[in-house]
Amino acid sequence: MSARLPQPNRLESGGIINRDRPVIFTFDRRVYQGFEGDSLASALLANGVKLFGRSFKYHRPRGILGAGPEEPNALVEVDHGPAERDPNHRATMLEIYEGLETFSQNHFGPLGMDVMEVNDLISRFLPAGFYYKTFFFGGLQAWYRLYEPIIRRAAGLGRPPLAADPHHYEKIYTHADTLIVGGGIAGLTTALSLAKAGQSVVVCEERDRMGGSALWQGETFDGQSGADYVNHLCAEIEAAGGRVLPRTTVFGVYDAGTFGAVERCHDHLAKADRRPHTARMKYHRIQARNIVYATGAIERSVGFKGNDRPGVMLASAGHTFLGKYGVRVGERATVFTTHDGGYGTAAALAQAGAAVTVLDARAEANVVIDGVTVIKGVYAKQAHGRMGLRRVDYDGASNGSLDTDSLLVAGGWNPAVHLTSHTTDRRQSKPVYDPEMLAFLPPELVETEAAAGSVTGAMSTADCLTSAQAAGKKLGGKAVALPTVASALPVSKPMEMWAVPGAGDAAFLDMQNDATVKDIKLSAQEGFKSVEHMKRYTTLGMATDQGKTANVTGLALLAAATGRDIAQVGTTTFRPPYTPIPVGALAGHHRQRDYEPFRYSPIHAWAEANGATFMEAGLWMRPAYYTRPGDKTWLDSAVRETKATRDSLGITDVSTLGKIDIQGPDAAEFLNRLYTNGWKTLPVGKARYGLMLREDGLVFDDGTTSRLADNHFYMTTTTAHAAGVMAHMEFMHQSAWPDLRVAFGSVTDQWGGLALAGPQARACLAKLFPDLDVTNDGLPFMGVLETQWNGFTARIFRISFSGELAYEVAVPADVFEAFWLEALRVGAEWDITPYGLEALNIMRIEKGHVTGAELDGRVSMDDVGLGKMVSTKKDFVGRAMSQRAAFADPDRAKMVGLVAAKPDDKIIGGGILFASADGPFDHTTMLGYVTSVAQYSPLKDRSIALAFIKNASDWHGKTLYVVSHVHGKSIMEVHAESPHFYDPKNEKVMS
Amino acid sequence: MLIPCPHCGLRPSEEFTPKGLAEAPRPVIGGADLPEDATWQDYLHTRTNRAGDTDEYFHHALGCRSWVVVHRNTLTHEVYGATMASEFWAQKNQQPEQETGQ
Ligand SMILES: [Zn+2]
Repeated sequence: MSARLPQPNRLESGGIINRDRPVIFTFDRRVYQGFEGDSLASALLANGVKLFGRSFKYHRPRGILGAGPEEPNALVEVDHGPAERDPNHRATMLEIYEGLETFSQNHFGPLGMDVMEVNDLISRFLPAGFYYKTFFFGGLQAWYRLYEPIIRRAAGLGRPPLAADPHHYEKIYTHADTLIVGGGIAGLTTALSLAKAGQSVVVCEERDRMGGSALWQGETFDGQSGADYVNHLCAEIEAAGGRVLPRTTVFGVYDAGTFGAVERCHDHLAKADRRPHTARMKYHRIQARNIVYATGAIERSVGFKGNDRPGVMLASAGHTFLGKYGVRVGERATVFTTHDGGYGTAAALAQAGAAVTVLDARAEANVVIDGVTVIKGVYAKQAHGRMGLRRVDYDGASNGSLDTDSLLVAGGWNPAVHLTSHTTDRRQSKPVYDPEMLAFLPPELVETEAAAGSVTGAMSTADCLTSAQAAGKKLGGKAVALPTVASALPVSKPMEMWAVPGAGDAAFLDMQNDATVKDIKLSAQEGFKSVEHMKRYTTLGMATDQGKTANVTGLALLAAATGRDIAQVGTTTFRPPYTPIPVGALAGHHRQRDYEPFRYSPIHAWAEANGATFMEAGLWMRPAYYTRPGDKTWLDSAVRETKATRDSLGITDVSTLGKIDIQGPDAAEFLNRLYTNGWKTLPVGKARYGLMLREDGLVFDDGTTSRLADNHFYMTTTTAHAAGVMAHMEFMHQSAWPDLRVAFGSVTDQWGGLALAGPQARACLAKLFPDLDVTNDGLPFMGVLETQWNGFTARIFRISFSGELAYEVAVPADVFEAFWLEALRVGAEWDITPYGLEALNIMRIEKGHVTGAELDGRVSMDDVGLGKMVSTKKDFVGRAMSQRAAFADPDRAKMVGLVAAKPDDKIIGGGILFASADGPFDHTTMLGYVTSVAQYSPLKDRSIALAFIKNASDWHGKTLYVVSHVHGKSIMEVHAESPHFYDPKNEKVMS
Repeated sequence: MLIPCPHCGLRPSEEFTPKGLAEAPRPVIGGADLPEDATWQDYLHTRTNRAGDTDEYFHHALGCRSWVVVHRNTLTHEVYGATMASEFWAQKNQQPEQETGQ
């Protein structure tokens, strides 16, 4: 424990801070001491700090306005290094801890001398809409050179962190019968009533502890202090199985009883006290049948000149600092009130030893407090003191000036109805204005909702408790005995005074956005009379605080300026989130490496250990190439692998292909309807290449499907479309053909697969399966055999993607690595060479086989040269639409092969095809585009490509030019030919 | 949003993939099979996009893999219920044609 340092504004007793636990922290590099339980605001106020930051637009010096989440002014940065720089913490919500380092924001130069304060001096030239109007002058050049750089520098609140967030965030589902938002005395009482009736309840309180105003108002409950009574309530709720979550903000109400909440688990703890690997924040997705809005009310200020001076704050804030934190915000305090409630604050301050004067806007007010001077029928006209309040002028029934160091404004209460308007769509109603209470109240609530406490408009603690009892009853709670409240707090409805007579500029409504009374009048004058237009024109209510202290006053003034009732003007729509929440909390663990899961082949570890470089294919990690001694580049590896395969024997992992097992008496009929070609005549033990269309006639996917038995098929899909094909099959079966007797499931993860390719593939296969007849007669092209390998099922398919004599062999995934190693051992005789996707790509381009690069969702069967694969005797998905006239248009681009004219040229993927090297190279002369490129083809000894071009076959043998507009418009000469460069007669695969 | 999957019960919408409005059954085999046919055009492209009560296909992709037709109101977000896609059109054909007021 460190020594106690003097804290000039801290009282010797009172509050619920722990004076035995001093806490050292810094603000703008100066060291201060507060106590455990302090907020940054209370601790700095205790130390006599008044200036907390600068305003956004005019850079006016600002202090503290509120004491809770509504605070618009005192935004600070917490800075513990580049990755942990976290801007826009409300000083009123930030709990201090040992070692906390904080900084004020939004100023250029020291906080006390901000060069941008010039904006304040010229503020009458910077009215609402200034930016919209001004930037018309000077045109675009002026925008780029002059305005934009200035705005960019001046815009934004705080500085972002400079490195990735090192914290840990969690998402959890939280279930309850009833969610209670707000852990004040009303919320807790409602929760207890419901918990006692057997409901599971969760109470979320956004502040550091439960209790709300009971913690500072100085009332007693059955003789107990507010803090003690709150502890007693919480203990009872927990004993009845309920949960209370402090530091948890319910930020959104969504459909069907879904609520979003963020619990702050770490931000109040010293670094040493944060348990490693635990979450900084938890995002609760709460699912609850009922909701209780016990969100309280937010006090509002009154518009008068200088009402933003440091030292002017809400009466409830001054009262909170006194009651909760033992901090007296001033020695010579002035309370400006429009209702009896201000007197409670005045009395508390007087009792704490301050000299207090009350300016009561009402001519006839009759609250009398010992030792407090009351001036009736007057209002605060202007507050003076740029860096800290010194004097306040008042006017009205009398006028004069008071020397004062703190001005506490009690302008009335705005029930925190925000959450009740998040589901406006469902309820079809918005918060309603009550002209008696001068406040917006929650709309009529549905049967699963209730409201309790001051959000209902209840003013006294006793009324709040009664409303809590009613809320509990509505949702099926048990009656709870209400405590006897001993209160010395007078309450009354406020007098209507949104701004004082004559208020205009420098009478601030929205402190964070510097929107003034004058701006509202200007907005109305310029025709922005809808509340939504006014909001956007003046920016009132648009910053991080979303105008919690400002909105209602703004629209009341708009109503006055346009001669309407406040009810007619209505509110803007409140939307989630209620307060800003870090994106990290929403992302949870879904970031960086954990953003999506990875899928690995059964031989991934082997590939990693054997020089593979991987590429992502959807969620899969697939070997792109294997680096061997002598390979200088990836292309060296790919070309070496290609040559080895073409000359002798290659092996590749095809485990990632989608595999779907299809069974049932109607399995063949099902395939007939999914594929363009026919399947009923496919014999058992044979495979067939199949093409699927989308219902609009464009190509969807391709693959090979084998018949293992009469009613049993094994389908493969492309790696990329595996999930989509599965969902498509399920959709067609369930929505269109539920009568088909067929069942199917994905077996992608159940089978591992390898391909043996090259002239020695048969010899290798024969060695792997010595008892099997794998001759051309025993296992002809497109033949399928099911056999055993070491007691495990093995399926052998004689199919080829590479263009070589090839076999694909599938074995159960858990023995696949063993099988792969055995193939390598056996194949060593022929220098078996593992190849990756890059070599496969070279080989399939040489062969003219299409992949996703060609089947991009825009091509028809004809476009890719597969138009003959249509059975006209049957219906299939896409049949009708594939007959559209446009698909027969000869101008449609079709597939063509390209060969670079010069040996060293590398054709550029995505390049555009033109007939002439002279240009122009634009859409008027464009003929086609390149889809797939082999940077080097051993077959052609240069770069080749697949492309799409109009009148494709006419171009065979002719010269074209590839231009890439994103690669410096280089012009490359190429020769067009059939896309089937390699073995066009399929002699090798059939051999 | 919660979706009452007829197979799994009430589940969060994140487990489902939406496909679009279920306004017409797929034209039957051997019937309309030319692209000019209005039945096909309507099936593929025409959507009423009504604000209010709708029937929509959802795939319980992260659940039982059923395709379901969710009956809900796009204005109030109220979800009335869900039917297995495999039963939806048969049930609809059994019901007498109702006045929809379109
Ligand atoms: Zn389901």
